[in-house]
Amino acid sequence: MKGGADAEAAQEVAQEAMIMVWRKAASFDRTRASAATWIYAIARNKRIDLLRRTRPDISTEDWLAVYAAEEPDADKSMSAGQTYRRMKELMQGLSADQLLVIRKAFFEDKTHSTIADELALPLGTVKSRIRLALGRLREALDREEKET
Amino acid sequence: MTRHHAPDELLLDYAAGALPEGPALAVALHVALDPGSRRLVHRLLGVGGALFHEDSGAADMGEAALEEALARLDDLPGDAGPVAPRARAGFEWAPAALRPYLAGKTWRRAFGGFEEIRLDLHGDPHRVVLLKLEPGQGLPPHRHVANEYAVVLQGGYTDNTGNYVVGDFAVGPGAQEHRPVADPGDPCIALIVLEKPIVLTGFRGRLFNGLLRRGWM
Repeated sequence: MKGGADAEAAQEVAQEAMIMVWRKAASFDRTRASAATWIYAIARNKRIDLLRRTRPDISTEDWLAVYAAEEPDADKSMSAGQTYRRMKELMQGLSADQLLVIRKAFFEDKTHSTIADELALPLGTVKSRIRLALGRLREALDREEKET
Repeated sequence: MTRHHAPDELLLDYAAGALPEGPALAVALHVALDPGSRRLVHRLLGVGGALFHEDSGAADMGEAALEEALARLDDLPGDAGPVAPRARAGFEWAPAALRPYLAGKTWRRAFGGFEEIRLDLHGDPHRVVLLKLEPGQGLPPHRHVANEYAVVLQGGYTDNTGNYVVGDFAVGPGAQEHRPVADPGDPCIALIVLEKPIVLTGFRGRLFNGLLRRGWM
């Protein structure tokens, strides 16, 4: 979330995100998300908002509006097992190659095709690293959800 | 039942906030309608949260900026929570993320006999259009020279790559020619995102390719 934004813009995102976290704290629902997930989603949406400042009336302010199911209660307890600590552990279980691609996506806001260009890797290689990494994540979390 | 999901790499791009507006809208609509992809995006946001906490290289927020944010907090009213924009009459099929783009728009008859609504993006050169096909109606045969994404919002369609129903996400078949035909039942409504204009491949269609490239059709 640093890439592409200069220091001033980054600071503005941080400010706006902080204000949003404060305002929305009462509507934070821990059966839907861990705090880290929630705060990340808010910061992500704030950044997109600022990048598209010229957009009229299209607010990504509410991550619920962006990710929400069309029926309000569809995703209750979606985050079972998805705690901040657990997510960090799962990331540590990825190979260096896989982690590099995932980190570049999140820290530099780059699409997988841009990442492939930058690393001078074939697009297919980057895709398969992402699919392997996400496959592991899915598998581990699915297993844990079944156990709980 | 959703059977075609957006590929993992696109969901990652979306969760990281890296997609341009057009593709981001397509993925947002798919995610709103597809529990499996929604679950994955949610997990990826968790990955984002976990990675940011460990990022030792992150710049500190300046003290003045922190002061200012804290001062602004004192003046803010409470927040009642999210309010989704209401669907317009006749557009009940549109998920919340699409509704702001529909303000003032109406269906228009397009070349080929189907109806369309062209959506306005803000600085993203992708072409985004809603198509409506009556049951049994098809698009002229065409192929793609760049990325194409489609999300079905009502009804369904079938082409040589498969059958697509509400919530399904299709990635364009590339240089391969395809001719989607709407399934029986409700008219098929789909959001199409094109990086570049399509290339018509039928004899009559070829005559129109120049116009398509210039954005006249």
